[in-house]
Formats: sequence, structure tokens, C-alpha cells
Amino acid sequence: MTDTKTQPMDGSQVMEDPDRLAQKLIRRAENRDGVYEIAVGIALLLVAAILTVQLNIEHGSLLRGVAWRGIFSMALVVLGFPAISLALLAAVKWVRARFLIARIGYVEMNPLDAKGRKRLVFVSIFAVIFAAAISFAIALAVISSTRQWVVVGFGVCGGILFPVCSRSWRFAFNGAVIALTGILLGIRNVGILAGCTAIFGAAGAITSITGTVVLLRFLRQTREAGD
Amino acid sequence: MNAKIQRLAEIDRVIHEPARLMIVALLAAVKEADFQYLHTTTGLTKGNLSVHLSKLEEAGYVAIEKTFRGKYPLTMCRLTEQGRAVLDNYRKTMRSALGAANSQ
Repeated sequence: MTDTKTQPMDGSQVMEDPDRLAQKLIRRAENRDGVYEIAVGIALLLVAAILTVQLNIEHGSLLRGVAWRGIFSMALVVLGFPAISLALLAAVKWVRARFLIARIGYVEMNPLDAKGRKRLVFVSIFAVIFAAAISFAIALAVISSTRQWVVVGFGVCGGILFPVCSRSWRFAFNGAVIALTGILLGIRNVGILAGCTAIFGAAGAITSITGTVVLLRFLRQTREAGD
Repeated sequence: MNAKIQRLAEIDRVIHEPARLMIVALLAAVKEADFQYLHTTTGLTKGNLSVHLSKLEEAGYVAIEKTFRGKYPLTMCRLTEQGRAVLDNYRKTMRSALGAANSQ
């Protein structure tokens, strides 16, 4: 009674908690075509590009003066991160509506309630301020230091957070690559900013590649299934 | 305590069936979804899904509307107010009955 190409939920899982099951199904549907994963990969690569610009500032090729370097780095983060996130979310929606609607179907999510909107605004502001402060501190003070543990810690934390934030064990491989990159860069005594740039770059590259593989497999499966 | 467990006998059988409960729970979490989305997300076959949606529509829990998005035909499904109320009631009954059974 169920499609062989998908993994149906059995009755016992439904009885567990309908709300939790619905969220699990929606999350699985979100990750099924790999488009969102590719977008995350591109976002990480763009962050690496922003950090590369900061790296150039450090080498004195773009801006002179410590304060200007800090302000420029902060502005890049404050303007860059929200712009990247919003543009990629819109791109994911457009790609799905334009090319994949016949395969994945159409869904309109519930609009956020007042509490959810407040939480989203609070988290977004906090994330931007936090990222800007870190960026400012790096640009001003520790930009050229080579403290191994910072790069290793950044890589390992990123590697752990990756599957946790995505709430999917499938991303454990990506997390392992990120952590390994951090450890290797730490061993090589790479500077903090250069190390972070490489870690974001590695994370972006591996996530884009795995997302593309998932997308190609999804396209092949849905074609074979005659959907 | 027994009264809570005995309320299980009054549970809505239309929504109690696992596949239909899955469909209703999914529709409760979104504003509306089309047939293809429900098919790919739940893993039910198209025939099976169609039968369950018909039963839910007959009971008045789900509203189905045929529409287009560009040239792509959509069979949009959404939970009605009655469907939402029945799901809430089902949830409360199950939780209270299971809670009572566990505490015994």
C-alpha cells in the first residue's frame, strides 16, 4: 500500500506524537531534493569569500588603519550575512517552484505567529551582532596570531554543530570533514582568519557537493518512479 | 482515572487510522499542500492517498480545491476548522488516556 521509493511511517510512529511526526516529515521533505543543502553550501562559500576580503584587508592591500579595518569588516558582516540568507531563501523557493514543483509538489507553510516572529527577529539581531563583534575583534586584535586551539576549536565546534543544527544524521559526514579541516589547519599553525576562511570554504564545498549528489539522485529516482 | 481511559472508546475513528492521522497532522502543520506534496512526504501510494483524502473530505475535515500554478495543475488540500478541532480533541484524549494508563 505504500510507495517503494519512499520510506513510509508505520502506525506506531504516528501514535507517538502527530505533531512531532508532522515536523519530521516536513523536515525530511525539505532535505529530500538537496536544493536547500546546495543553498547552505553556497552561503558558506560566500561567507568564505567575505572572510577572504577581510584577509586582504589584513595584508594592507585595501584599507589602512586598524579602526577602518574593523569597521569595514563589521559592515561586511552586518550587510553581507542577511543579504546572503534572504537572497538564497528566495532562490530556493524560485528553483523549486520553477523546476521541481511536478516532482515535490506545492506547499504553503503556516505564517509565523507573533511569538515566532519576535523570536526570529531576536535571534537574527543577536546572530548579526555576535558575528559583527567577532569580526571586529578578529580584524582589530588577533587577525595575524596563530593560536592553534582557536582554529581547531572552531573546526570541531562547527563539525558538531552542523548535524545538530540541521537535525539530520546525514550531515554527520559533512561535520566530520569540517572538524578534520580544523584539526589539520591547527596542526599546520595557520592564522585564525585564514583558518576560519578555509573551514568555511571546506564546509561550503562539501555541502554543495553532497547537495548536488542528493539532487541528482532525487531527479533520477523521481524520473524512474514516473512522477 | 478509568473514565479517562474509557474515553478512548469515543475517539473519532476517521482520524484514528494511522495514514489519515498522518495526513491530518501534516496538514495541521502547513497552511495548504497539494496532492503531490502529500504523496511524496507521507510515502503513501497515490491511490491510497486519494481514498484517504476522500474519506477526510466526506467527514468535512479536509477541503480539496483544484487549481493551477502557472500551467501546473494543483489539487490543493487544507485542514478545515472542523478538522483542526477534531485533531485537537484527538490529541487531548490520547494524551490524557495514555497519561492515565502510564500512571496506573
